[in-house]
Amino acid sequence: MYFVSELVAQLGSDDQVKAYQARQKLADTVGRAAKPAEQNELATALATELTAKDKDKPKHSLTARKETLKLLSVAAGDEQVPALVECLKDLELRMQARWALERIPTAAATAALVKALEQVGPEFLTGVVIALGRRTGADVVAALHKAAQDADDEVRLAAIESLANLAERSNDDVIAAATKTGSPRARARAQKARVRLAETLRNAGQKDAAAAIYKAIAANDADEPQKKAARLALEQLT
Amino acid sequence: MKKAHPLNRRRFLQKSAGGAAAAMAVPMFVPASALGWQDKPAASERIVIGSIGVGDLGRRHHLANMILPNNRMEVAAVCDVDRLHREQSAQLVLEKSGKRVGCYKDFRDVLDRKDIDAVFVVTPDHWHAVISVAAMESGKDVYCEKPLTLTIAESKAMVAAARRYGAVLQTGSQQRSDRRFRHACELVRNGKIGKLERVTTHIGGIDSGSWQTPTTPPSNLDWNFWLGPAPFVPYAANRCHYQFRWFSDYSGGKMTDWGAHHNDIAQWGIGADGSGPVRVEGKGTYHENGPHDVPGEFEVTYTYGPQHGDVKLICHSGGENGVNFHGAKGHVFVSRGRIELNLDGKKYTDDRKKIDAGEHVDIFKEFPRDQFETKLYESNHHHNNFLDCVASRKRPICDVEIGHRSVTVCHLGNIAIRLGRPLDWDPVKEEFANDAAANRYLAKPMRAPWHV
Repeated sequence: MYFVSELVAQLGSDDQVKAYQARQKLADTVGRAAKPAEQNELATALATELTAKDKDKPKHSLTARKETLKLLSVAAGDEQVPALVECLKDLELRMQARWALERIPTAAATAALVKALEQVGPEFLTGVVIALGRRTGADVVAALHKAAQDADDEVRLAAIESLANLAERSNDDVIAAATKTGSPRARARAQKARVRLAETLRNAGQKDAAAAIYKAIAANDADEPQKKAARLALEQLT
Repeated sequence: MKKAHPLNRRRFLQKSAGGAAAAMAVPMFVPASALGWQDKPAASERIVIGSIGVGDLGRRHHLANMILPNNRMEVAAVCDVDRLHREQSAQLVLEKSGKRVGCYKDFRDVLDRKDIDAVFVVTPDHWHAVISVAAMESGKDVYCEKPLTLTIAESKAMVAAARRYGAVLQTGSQQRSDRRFRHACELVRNGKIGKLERVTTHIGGIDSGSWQTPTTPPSNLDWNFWLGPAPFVPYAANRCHYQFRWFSDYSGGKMTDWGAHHNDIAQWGIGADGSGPVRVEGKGTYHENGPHDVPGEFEVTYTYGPQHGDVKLICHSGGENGVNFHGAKGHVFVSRGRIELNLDGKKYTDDRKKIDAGEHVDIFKEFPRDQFETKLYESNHHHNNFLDCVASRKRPICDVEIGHRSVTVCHLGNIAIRLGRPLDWDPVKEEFANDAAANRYLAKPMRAPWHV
């Protein structure tokens, strides 16, 4: 796919019009690849350009690679996950790489996100933790439980909020503990997450577990909106 | 209106007022404005507002024209990431009401205030979901400008939050509170034009815009905060205030900007609130040289299911701005200035000149609402309907679910144009059938720490 190489190079053009034209052309091409085989061929070509080297340096500019990652977020599949993982190591690219992995709904992408938690930087880790909140599986739960103990408040609270999306009764132990630590705003975020967890459990058919959490919220020193939400839910459950 | 604080501001004022009235001999420390007089509600009955996003629309339209003149509301806070916007707004409130209000850059500081009952969210679209969900989680009711969100996933999250907290959320698609649009939909829903066959909406296209060299943001603007969940790009004035509508990182272009009005009316007339089309097919063009990167001109065809009579909705960028319902016996056109019905060769309108000239028959007299079997939700003032619902806890005329489903129609259009193939949409599961690639377009990742 020679044109992909040309267009990826053009993504980094200093001429804003040329860069725009390349973005539109590639977005159109990616969008119109309807069949999985076409999508994979295109994604492979994009991933090749993303990681291509020219005398030990990246073949394409940083801007071009960032834009390529945006395209891969809607085009990539499991075969391109290793290329995305490689970009996670690059401080300038890792957020766009996380975005791409976030949109790939496969186990390989989930595993890559779990592994990404071994990296550093609270802002980056917060994003990874949020992305994991849309995944399922024991590895994800374990990773989020660990992140919920992070020294950085934003990472810790993002993990609490992500755990609220996963229908695991044991998550409440972690979230309930978080309602008692940190600043008032941090405690409030944990209370809100607790309400969400109860709803997640209810939607997953675990009504008894949900009811127990709602009752605890209604009875404890949560803020009034959370108590009201718990009361509303309990009315609906009975 | 505050719901359940043990001794909140309203209860305190009510107690104070009661005490003052019972002891007329003592000096009156409670100002008359707190008690209310003539048509002005007592302070304890006024809804305390935080106005988040006070740029052009937030300040000029909502704050100046709709909120401050409405004595059922009391502004307590203004918030904007642009210091000039928030300071001008605070000054406006001071001039109009004599009150000094909280002036905030960070919406979370507004949401922390327990005295605030409701917030107006009039920020760029890419912020709507984050702020609205956080507001509802903080016990606030929300008036959120249209288009409700940047993605379908975001507006689903807003519906879930509203239901979770029993919050009132009015979507700012205010044509629902316009008599003409309601009457057009009631004519359709009562079969006056026969079986509905198709609806056409005309919402306008956009120009290409012009490129600007990125530069340092003005000192009054926190550009990084303005971007918030959206990808970081260097500042250029023509990506920011108002113009953000034409950049896909922040909005959906005309398709969502005006589609959130006219496609919303189409949904109402079709009777598809809470549902949507089952198939969408779009064609459109993007400007060749940018910078506006949303569809410039387009035509999108939506097909609804058998429960909605297999009707088609065709959304155009061209044609006279408005909504046209085409039935087996006639058609009705409605816009912000005009309603016109063509039925069996006769013409009906609300245009006084045409009626007086004998060219048309008065549509409201010929088809009075009280004779309709199906009467739609009646609201004649979008803001007051919101306030009524904040008080009654009923759902507003353009409830969050309605706003969500209407903006979904718009997003589906943009996705179909980008993908260039027919897409089957499941309005129950709210995902594309058999098209995993298309489903990736339902949500967009956000910059941390933002998420919904």
